[in-house]
Amino acid sequence: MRGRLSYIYLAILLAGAGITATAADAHDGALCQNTTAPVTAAKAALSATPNSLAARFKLADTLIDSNCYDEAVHTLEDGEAIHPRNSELQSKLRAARSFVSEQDYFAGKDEAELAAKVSRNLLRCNKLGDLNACDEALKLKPDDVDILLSKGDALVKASRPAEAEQVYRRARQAAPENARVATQLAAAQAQRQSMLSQCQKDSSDAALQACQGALVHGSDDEFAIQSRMGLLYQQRNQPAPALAAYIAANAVKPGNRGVALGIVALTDANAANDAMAFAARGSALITLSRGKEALAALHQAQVLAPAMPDLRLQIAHAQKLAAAEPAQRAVADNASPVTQVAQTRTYSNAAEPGRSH
Amino acid sequence: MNTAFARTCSLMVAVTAAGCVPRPPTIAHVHLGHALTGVHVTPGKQGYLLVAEKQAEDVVALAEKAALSTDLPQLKADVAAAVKATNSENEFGLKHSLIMASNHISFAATSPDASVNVQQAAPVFAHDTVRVVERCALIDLLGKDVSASTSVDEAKLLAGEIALLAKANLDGEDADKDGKVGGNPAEFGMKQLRAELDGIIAGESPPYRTVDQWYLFNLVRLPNGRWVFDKLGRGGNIDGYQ
Repeated sequence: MRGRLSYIYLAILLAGAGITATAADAHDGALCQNTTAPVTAAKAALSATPNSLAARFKLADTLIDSNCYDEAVHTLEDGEAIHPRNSELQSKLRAARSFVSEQDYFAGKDEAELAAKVSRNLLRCNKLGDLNACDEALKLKPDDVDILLSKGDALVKASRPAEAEQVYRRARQAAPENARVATQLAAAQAQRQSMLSQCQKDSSDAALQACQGALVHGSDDEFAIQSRMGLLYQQRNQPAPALAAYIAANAVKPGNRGVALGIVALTDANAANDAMAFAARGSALITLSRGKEALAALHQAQVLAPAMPDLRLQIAHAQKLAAAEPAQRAVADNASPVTQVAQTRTYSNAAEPGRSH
Repeated sequence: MNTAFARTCSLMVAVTAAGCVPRPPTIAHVHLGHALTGVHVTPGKQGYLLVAEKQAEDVVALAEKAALSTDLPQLKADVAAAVKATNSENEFGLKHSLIMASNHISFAATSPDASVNVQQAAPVFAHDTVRVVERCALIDLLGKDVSASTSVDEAKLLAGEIALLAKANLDGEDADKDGKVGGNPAEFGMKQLRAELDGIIAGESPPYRTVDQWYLFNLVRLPNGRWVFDKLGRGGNIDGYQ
């Protein structure tokens, strides 16, 4: 408060010198508006009477009122040649220069506060692996390579190499020649490969964590990881994340029979109650060539979310399947039992195609 | 009679020529004196820069003590004291005292009797204080993190960072690793700012002389904006001037 007051006193001091703007105006950082009517009129008046000190002072005051401190200084400096050693002009010039330096000072102070926030977040990101702090720092400086590196490092430390990889790639875009970025990106890729391997081979909790850490949306292996996660969650009797993983896998690569069986089993056991689950169930049942059931699920989805994308297309597909179903079902009942057994083994709680639900 | 009158006149001329009649300091130099020597509002009525230097030393001691502590409540108490010595306005913490010192140098620069030297140096000095102000702001933020922390390890780490910042505020730092501490304004601490202000003082013409306390504490602003000395010696602070 006292600091603030002192700036006001400075403004009072300047006001004493005949300058009418306040320090608070300078602090507000308002932009110079040198095309306003008063400025234009004052400029015209000075232009008509260039030797008039009163006209020059009027223009300087008007420019300061419009936050144009630099221009006010120049106006007064131009007057020095015409009115050398004029004490009032010198006084106004001193005050106007002070406004310029004060404006710089406040800008510097604001920058200092901002820099302190970035430094604090960078420190927490770097030394404590605080990812929230990393994100806060990036909000202020989104392309800062040091912050991106720190976030990547924090993600590696948190065994999230897939996300780290993406962050390092952003850093590489910002600084293609940075050697540390290249080193860290390679390290993250190696960590991800190792986790990917554990995800696919193992069934432990560590394997599930490895899958989560290795998952990159849009990557070539996203389907494999999502479907594996669906299975691992299903084995742990966690239907909600299992269904979410299968739905994600189905979105990446629709038509996979194993994933379809997983979705149907989970929506059977835990009644689907939202549009996404009904739509996923419908899509899975189409994959399993169970048109009538698919149609029922898709209609439910349509009731809940009429604007859901691709729903009409799926319904049309299901209608075609349903129309052909009696004939196909008979064929299916006589189809190779090998596939069904294999799927049943993989998804022990999955519904076998051909059974009624 | 004529002889006596002539003697009196001669004596008066001699006394004046010898400088026995003290000339008041310039208004600009009184403002500089508030930054350097004394001002009526600070603890011990010391100049703002002196207060800032003392606070900077205290912050280092407190933060270093905190960084060595393994007792979380004690660590938090030491960090809280360090933050107070850094940022308190009521108790003239480092940041506030430094800003006030800079303000008074700006007051000097806008005084009617300011030298070109002060007019040119004041904005540079204000700009050069920014790094210390930034470190103070960071100490404040990290202090809040320490206060909220439930982990001794985390709090110790943060206290260590605060100690490093406090040391840099006192002595400057070598951020660009060129082997030179305080080699540019982005590395400045109080030591470098003191040297800069000493340089401003050395460049004054007429030379700056330590301003008598009476002038330091009795500079007032009249309603017309002029600065004058309060002949009644009421101890400053008229119109809220600090």
